[in-house]
Amino acid sequence: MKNQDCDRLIDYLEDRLSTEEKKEFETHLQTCTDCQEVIELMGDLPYLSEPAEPSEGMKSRVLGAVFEEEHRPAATERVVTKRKKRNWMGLSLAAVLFVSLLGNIYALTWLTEGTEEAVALEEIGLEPNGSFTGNAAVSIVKGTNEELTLTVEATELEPLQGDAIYQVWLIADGEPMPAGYLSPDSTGTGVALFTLGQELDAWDTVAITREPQYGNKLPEGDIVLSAPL
Amino acid sequence: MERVSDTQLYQRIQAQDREALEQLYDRYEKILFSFLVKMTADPNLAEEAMQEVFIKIWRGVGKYDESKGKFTSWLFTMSRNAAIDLIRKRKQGQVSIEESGELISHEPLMDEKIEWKEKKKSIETAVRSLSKEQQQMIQLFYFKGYTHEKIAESCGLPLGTVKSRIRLALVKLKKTLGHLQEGRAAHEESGL
Repeated sequence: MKNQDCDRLIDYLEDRLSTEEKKEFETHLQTCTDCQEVIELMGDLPYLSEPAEPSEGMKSRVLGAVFEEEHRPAATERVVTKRKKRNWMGLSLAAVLFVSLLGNIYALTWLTEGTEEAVALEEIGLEPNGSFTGNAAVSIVKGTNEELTLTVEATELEPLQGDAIYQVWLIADGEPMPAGYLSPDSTGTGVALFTLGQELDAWDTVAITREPQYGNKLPEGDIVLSAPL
Repeated sequence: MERVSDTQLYQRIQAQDREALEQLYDRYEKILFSFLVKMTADPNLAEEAMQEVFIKIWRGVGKYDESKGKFTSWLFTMSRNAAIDLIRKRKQGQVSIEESGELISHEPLMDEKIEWKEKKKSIETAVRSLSKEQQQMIQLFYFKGYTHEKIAESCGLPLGTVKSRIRLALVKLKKTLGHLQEGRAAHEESGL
């Protein structure tokens, strides 16, 4: 029923389709020239706008906010260390994470707005690769602002040599994106927080690698722990 | 030097290359901001939407897939949806259908970039080929962020009819625009 498929175009543009419906429509899109043309038009229509002059300093404010987000406690490069080792595996991970995070000054700052109503959506244990002996679990938490946060808590991580660091990655169709670091304390414990925005569906795997240095944009080291999302 | 494509820049951004994000920002700042001002009628809200958009790009939220269309289509669609979200969060009343304005400006573009000027001229010519009702559908749906339900309610039309009319108006606009561009290309090729 071609027309019915085409009528979904409007919902597609409004980003209202479920993941399944979106996939179905995108299959239709591959063969429907009319729908393809409308999608292409979306890249032309804004040129109908009257030129508006950005206010002074807008670029630095916008990009500053982007990179500031990255450096917030919930963002990629925040490393939380020196936490006490405890046996959390038998408890509710979400509860433990929130209690422990509330005691952490970095996380407290970040959670100020939404602690009371934050909801843990998923709690997943990561599987060690080969002979690796450490443990880790991730929790996906939705704050009151609908923003999702990935929290990775690891214990019994093997000590690191030199500049090496454990790095967290989110992977979509084999393509990794950096999602924080774990710098274990003397007991092998570390926590990383990463803001996901509002979409979880884009990612299929979370993994931790042992990287030779801080700051890698793509993994160089082997995966030591991983789990499907 | 050959210009880096949008897709190449996007790939570098996915690898957390700040310089690539800055290049992309510079490339689209003016048109994106102008588009968001047109949608929100509020420069402050437009700047907020810009920020949302670039945070999403930097974080890889809602990934761009080259097989689903050109980069600008993805960028502007994502930006439009970000603006609509902000408008609704702020609960700023959308303009009434009667006050929705016109797609075509009567003011000439003065010193703007030639590329923008050319594109605007072509699209405005194509818009003129649409009926007033079709122009209104595009204005309300695309630029004013009306949902198709709201348009149906305001116009007293069934939902399916409104969806079809919006889609057909967009299809017609794109086809006319395509013909105009082909005609211009042929004209330039002939050296006239």
